Amino acid sequence: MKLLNAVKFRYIKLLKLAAIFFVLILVMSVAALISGHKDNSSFEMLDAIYTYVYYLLGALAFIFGVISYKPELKLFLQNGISRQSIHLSFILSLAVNAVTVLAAMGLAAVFSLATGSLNGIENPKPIIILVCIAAMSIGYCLAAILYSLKPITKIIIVGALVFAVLMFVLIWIVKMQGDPSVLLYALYCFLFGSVTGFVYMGHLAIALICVTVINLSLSHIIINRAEIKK
Amino acid sequence: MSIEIKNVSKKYGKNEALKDVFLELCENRIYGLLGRNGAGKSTLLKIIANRIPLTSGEVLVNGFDCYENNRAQSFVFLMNDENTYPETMTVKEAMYWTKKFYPEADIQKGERLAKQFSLDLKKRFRSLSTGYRTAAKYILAIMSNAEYTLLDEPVLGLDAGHRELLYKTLIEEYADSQRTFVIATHIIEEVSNVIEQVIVIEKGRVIENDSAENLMLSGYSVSGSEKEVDLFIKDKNVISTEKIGSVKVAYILGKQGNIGNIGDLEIAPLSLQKLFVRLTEGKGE
Repeated sequence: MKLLNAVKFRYIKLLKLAAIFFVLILVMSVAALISGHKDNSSFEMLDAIYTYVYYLLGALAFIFGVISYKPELKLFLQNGISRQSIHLSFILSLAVNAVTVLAAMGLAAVFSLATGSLNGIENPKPIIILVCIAAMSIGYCLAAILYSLKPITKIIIVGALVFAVLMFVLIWIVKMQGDPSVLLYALYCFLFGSVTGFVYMGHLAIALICVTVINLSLSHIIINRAEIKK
Repeated sequence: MSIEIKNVSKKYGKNEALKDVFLELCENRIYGLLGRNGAGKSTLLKIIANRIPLTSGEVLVNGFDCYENNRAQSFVFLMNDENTYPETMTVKEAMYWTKKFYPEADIQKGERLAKQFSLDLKKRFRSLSTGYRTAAKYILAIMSNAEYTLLDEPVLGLDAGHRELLYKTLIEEYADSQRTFVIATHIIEEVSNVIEQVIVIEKGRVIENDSAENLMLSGYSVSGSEKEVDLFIKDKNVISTEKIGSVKVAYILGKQGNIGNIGDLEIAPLSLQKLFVRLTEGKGE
């Protein structure tokens, strides 16, 4: 019963955040319609909005993951829920949240049909569900790591990561005498497909599942040792 | 049905916060968990409430291991100074969710208490003052109807009126229910009229565990003129003395019976505070 209520609590929180998202899309759509009415550019604007709605969904999912750790850890421990159950409630909420993502996609499709704009929703990619789940798990794990670390440790880790990335790029430039963007392109091709740029959904799906599993495992280890900080 | 604390120790690095604690908290009693700052009171309550793990030993709540056990924790509710409720949550929402996680909770009881404390249920936790935040947490603890309700410094930030109201409502709740309350505090004078059983913790160890009545009968105070008091206490086990104007008061360990002729001296029961000071300092005259 406690576990189910914990999942319910998380889901209600997501719905509130999703409501903000839908209102944002609605406001942007209305603004586009009004501002583009005179020169008929409103449909182009709506096209652009709905093309990027997936990115917004991913960002929303990441934010939800980040804000799902600390407040819930404290509240659920206060109400006698074990750490295992707290973590399990997050995993269960991921599955439930997938339904909300589908609803968001559906609503965006309705908007675009109503406004006559179809480009952004022409191929609603189911992969977005995995993207959102992965983004949530990344946000959650990041929040767990940051909450569990002492301030000096956070500074050291973030500093070390930034240093490592900069050094890697520097070495690439110096050694390869090349453009740093070649690095990103190589990573993109490895993950998503060949140099033709065709996206292999299978590769992406596997990568997203792996990212999710790794983050959930890491956050499970962290939450088992979690204590409420003052 | 009880909370059994068996050989519990808790270490933070080299620092031993609790050492070999053996206790049994029985049902339907009010315990006072007394100790100086850093004695280990909060640590013990947090271990029972699964907030922190113990280093060794075990704690059983109605036969269930307390650590990472939803079943065991359904019997326990801890109120302390930690801010565990989201800042944007209203008191009413907190009551709603307390009811969800503790099915025996009584929201109407919570609303009645909120009225008595003049607490606005629509206020969010971030807008509550320290005192009202404490009051809100106390109300949630009482309304939870948890079998074992642990109150760690429950009067923190409360004004005198609210402190009196807290103790009054606590006694009323205790009289109406079959619950166990554990009050951890170092404000002993106020809580001495409420508690039945006294547990004193000093440097992580339990040094006393007895009924409040027995403890207060274990000594007495004698007051009068300095000359008479000095004469009286010559062969007694004196905890401490104090002088107020021309009157001297001496606090003595021992039974009141067979104390002989007291002349103009006044005899009174020993206060729990004085006894506590004696137990935790071990000083005498």
